Order: sequence, then C-alpha cells, then structure tokens
Amino acid sequence: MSLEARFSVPSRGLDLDLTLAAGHTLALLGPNGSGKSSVLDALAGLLTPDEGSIALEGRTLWSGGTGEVRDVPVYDRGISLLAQEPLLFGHMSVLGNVAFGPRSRGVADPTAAARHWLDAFGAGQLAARRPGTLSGGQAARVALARALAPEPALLLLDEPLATLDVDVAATIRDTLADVLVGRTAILVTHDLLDVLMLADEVAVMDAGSVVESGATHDVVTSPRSPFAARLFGLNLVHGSVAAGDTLVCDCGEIRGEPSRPLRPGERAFAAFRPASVAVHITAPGGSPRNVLSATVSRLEPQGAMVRVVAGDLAADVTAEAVSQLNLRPGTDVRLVIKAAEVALYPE
Amino acid sequence: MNGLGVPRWCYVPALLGGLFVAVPLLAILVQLDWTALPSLLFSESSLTALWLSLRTTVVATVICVVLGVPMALVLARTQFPGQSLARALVLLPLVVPPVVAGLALLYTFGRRGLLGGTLSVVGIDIAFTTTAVILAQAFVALPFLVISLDGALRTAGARYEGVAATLGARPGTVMFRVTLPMMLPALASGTVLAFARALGEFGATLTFAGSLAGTTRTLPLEIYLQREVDPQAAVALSVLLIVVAVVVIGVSRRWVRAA
Repeated sequence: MSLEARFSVPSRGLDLDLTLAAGHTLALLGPNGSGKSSVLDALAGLLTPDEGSIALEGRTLWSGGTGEVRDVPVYDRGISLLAQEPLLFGHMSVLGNVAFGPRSRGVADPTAAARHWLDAFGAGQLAARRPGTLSGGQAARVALARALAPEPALLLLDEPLATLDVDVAATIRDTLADVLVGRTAILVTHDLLDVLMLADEVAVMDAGSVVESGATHDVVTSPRSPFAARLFGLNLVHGSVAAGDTLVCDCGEIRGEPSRPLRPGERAFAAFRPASVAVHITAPGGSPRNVLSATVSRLEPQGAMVRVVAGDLAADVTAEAVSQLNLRPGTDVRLVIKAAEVALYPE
Repeated sequence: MNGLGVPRWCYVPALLGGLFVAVPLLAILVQLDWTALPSLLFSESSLTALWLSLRTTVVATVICVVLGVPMALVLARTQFPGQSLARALVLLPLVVPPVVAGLALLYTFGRRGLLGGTLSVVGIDIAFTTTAVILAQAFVALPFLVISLDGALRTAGARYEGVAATLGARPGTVMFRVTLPMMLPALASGTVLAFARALGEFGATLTFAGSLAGTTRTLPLEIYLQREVDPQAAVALSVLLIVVAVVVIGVSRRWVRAA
C-alpha cells in the first residue's frame, strides 16, 4: 500500500480509514457534505486531524493523538492538491505558475518541466499569458499542469472538471486518463464518466466515513451503498436471504441470480437497472417474475424515456406507457422485474 | 438600469460631504498670493522644514513597512492567545489624541522615561532630536499600514498560500512570491496612507520632539509658527503640503494599476 490513512477530525465529523495501492487512482465519492474535501485537506496537511496517522510510501506524514507525534509540513509532503477552483497566481504568467512547484522543490530546470507539463495538457501556447485572460477550460489545464509539475508522490484532485463544458471536460478527461496511469491519485468526483475512465478503485463516503470501497468494476456492478447505486444508475435493495435465490426486503420478496451461493439469513443486496423494471397497474400473470407494490412519488425525464420514481425504486418506461397507464405522483403501481435481470450479492 | 442603485435622497448628503471636503481646499487656494509664492516657498526656513519633513517621513514610512508587514501577517495568518486584544492595541495610536501619543513617547524614550534612562546611559538621547520626529511619525502612522494590509489579507483568505505550500514552497517563499505580490495594491495603499499621516504629523512631534529649526521643526510645525508671523507664508506652505500629498497619492495609484 502506498497511502495508509486512518484519522479522525471530530470538528468536521470525519472518522476515516483509507488505503490506496501505489500507482492506483481512487475515486472518492459521496453526497455533498460527506467530508470528501476535508479528507483531501487533511492528507495535504491543510487541516490537522485530532488523532490517527497518515503514511505515504512508508513515510509517516502525520501521526498524533495517542501515538508518536509527527507532523511533516505541507511543503515537504510531496502531495499536490488541486481544488475545485484553479486558484492560479494572478501576478505570474502561466509558465511562471507551472514552474512554481518545480522551482520550489529545487528542480534543475523548472521552466523545462513547466513546458513539458503545459504541452502534456495541450496548453503550451498559453505559456506567456496571464491567468486572468484564460477561459475556464484553459485555466483548468494550466492548474492540472501546475499540480503535476512537481511530480507529486500523491495527487489530490477535487472535482477538477465539474465546472467545465461537457466537450472541454471530455478532452481534459482523456488527457488525465493518460497522465494518471501509474500515478497515485485521489479524485473527488460526482461524475460517473470520471469514475469509469480514471479510477482503479472507488471509495464512497457518507457522514465522514468510508461506507463502501473496492475495485471500480466491482463497485460499479455491485454497489453496496445507496449513493453508489444512484450514481451508477442501479436500483439497490437491501435485505436478508430467505432461500438460495430470494431476498426479503421492506418492499417484498425479490428473486434473482446470486453471485455465489447464499445462505438463508445472510444479509445481501439485490441490484437491477431501471430499464429492466416494467410498470403495471395490476399484477400480470405468467412466467416467474418479481412483483413489488409501490406508489409513484415523481416522474423525471430520462433521455427519450420517463423515469418513474416509486419510493426507493426507479423504472424507465416510454412516454406512451406513462400516458396509457395515466401515471401520476400518488398512483399505486406494481413494479415487475424478471429474476434473470436481478443480481444478488452478499454484504 | 433604471430603478437600481442608491435611493435619490442619498445624493444630497453625498454632495454636502463632497463640498465639505472640497470647499476648504478651495478656500486656501483663494487665499494664496501667487505672485509672492516663489519667495515664500523658497525661503530658507521653508526649504529647511520641507527637507526635514520629507527625510523624516520617508524613514518613518520605511519603518512602518518593515514592522507593519510582519505585524499584519502575524495578525491575519496565525492564531495566538490574546489576538483580538493585540489587534485592538495596534489601532490605539489611531484613536489616541496625537498630543497624548507624544506624551506617551516622551515617558518611554525621554531622558526620565521607561527606556530613555537606560538609553541615556549608553549615550543615546532621543527626545527633541530628529530621531524623535521619526519615532513620533512612525508611531501614529503604523496602524494605517497594518489595518489595510490585515484587512486585505483576511478578505483574500489563505487559499492561494495553501496551494503554494502544497507545490513545495516554504513559508518564506510563499510570503515573498505569493502573499506579498498578491497584496501589492493593499500594501501600496496602506503605505500611502502611512506616508500621508506621517507627513501631516503635528501634535505628537511637538510634544515629543519640540520645534527646533532644522532638527525637529517639520513642515506642519513651520506652518503653525508662520501663521503667527506671516499668514501668507503659512498658506503657501499649506498648499505645498497639499501638492506633495496629491502627488504621492497619484503616483502610487498609477504604480499599483501598472502592477
């Protein structure tokens, strides 16, 4: 493990246990106010935890509370932090901004390093410009180049693409995907594309703690937190196993395809896509299907479809179906899901 | 834009306030005897006082910058017990009457003062010297620089400094390459205010330094003296003081805009 962080910051409601393999990129997800930015601040040294320890590449950066007290200063941690805003130094040229890190770390030729990283982000032609004259996308490229120029041992990115146009974000995301290969990084994001393209691992935070973590593929296909399920567009139901392929939850019984044999009584999740859910007013007969009773709480546009939200579950149906069934908030419906479309997996 | 902005009645007190500032300046210009101006301005006593004022004010302003910038940084960027008390103390010279400030300095650096006795033993006498003029000016001018810089530092926040530190910059590098360059407009306006306050210093100087021609009699003291014997000379010197202040403000504003 390259990064091992276990610390608490009671004033920010943080109590965290986070590890990250060398050369991996971790996507840190979670609702607003769950403490993601505070985690980055604490790792970088801009926020001091109350107790715990932070180690990077075997070197203890911070430890306090009960154990040995140690606090490596911010400038000596080798951790670059790119906040949500670019925060470029307005009194320096773009080149001066990017050369600032290498120069501060005593690199032999800071300007060459700066030019290399500006070119890497397709911003070489901006070198002589002042930050005040840049567009949002240009400033984001320069800020990324500046964060990478000191060759940090750990790169922290706080929603770097969130404020950009979709097209601009897409090209910068492509560059980032190349740059982040083999680099240890933590990326705070709300964007599914960032997770899929940039992250090897995912950690989901809620109320100051990591509630779910794992390899990106595992979390994307088998989320275990409501937040991750929502982000990845899945319905997630939590319950206990009644038989090998049946889960009992608050909303009824769901049969599905277990990822491994499940024992009765075991806690487990059922996940299925909203597009796999059919909406009926009365329960249909026929082949073995799951039928859950629910009340429509709202309707949302979802591409060419309409998303019917009923309690914790969502179903994507055609506009035609909505008008035919006369679906409105408050309508009682039967949600029907084929067992083959439901993934069952343990906690 | 119709219907936005300040209520119309605001223009009345605003105009009154503007006149209140402008009319006295105009009044003194009206009094000025333009034909006699050169002889009045270039009299020996005037030139001596002007030269003394400029020298002492420049040195006092340098002292304000050298002490005031670190003071503002410590006040705005660190936390220590009694910080709000310290911030209030720094403002004290601003609200204390200058004559009281002069007395306080006298009881500190005067021959029988708190530190003056010790200094006197090693042969340093400060009261009633040019050094005393500089100390009096620096004492009353320092808060102007500290307030403007402290306010600007706290408004700007420490986020840029945080970025600089994560890029590997030590506190000294952050201060000289990020904080101070970004604070240049506030530093300049604070310095100009301090310079202007020091240039106009009267009460503390008179109390602590006296009024010895060529040694402690600065331009404001000279004006006050001349008012008794030669009112026209006092008016001419007043206009000179106004011109110096206007030039300093104009030059510094242009300089800040260029930076």
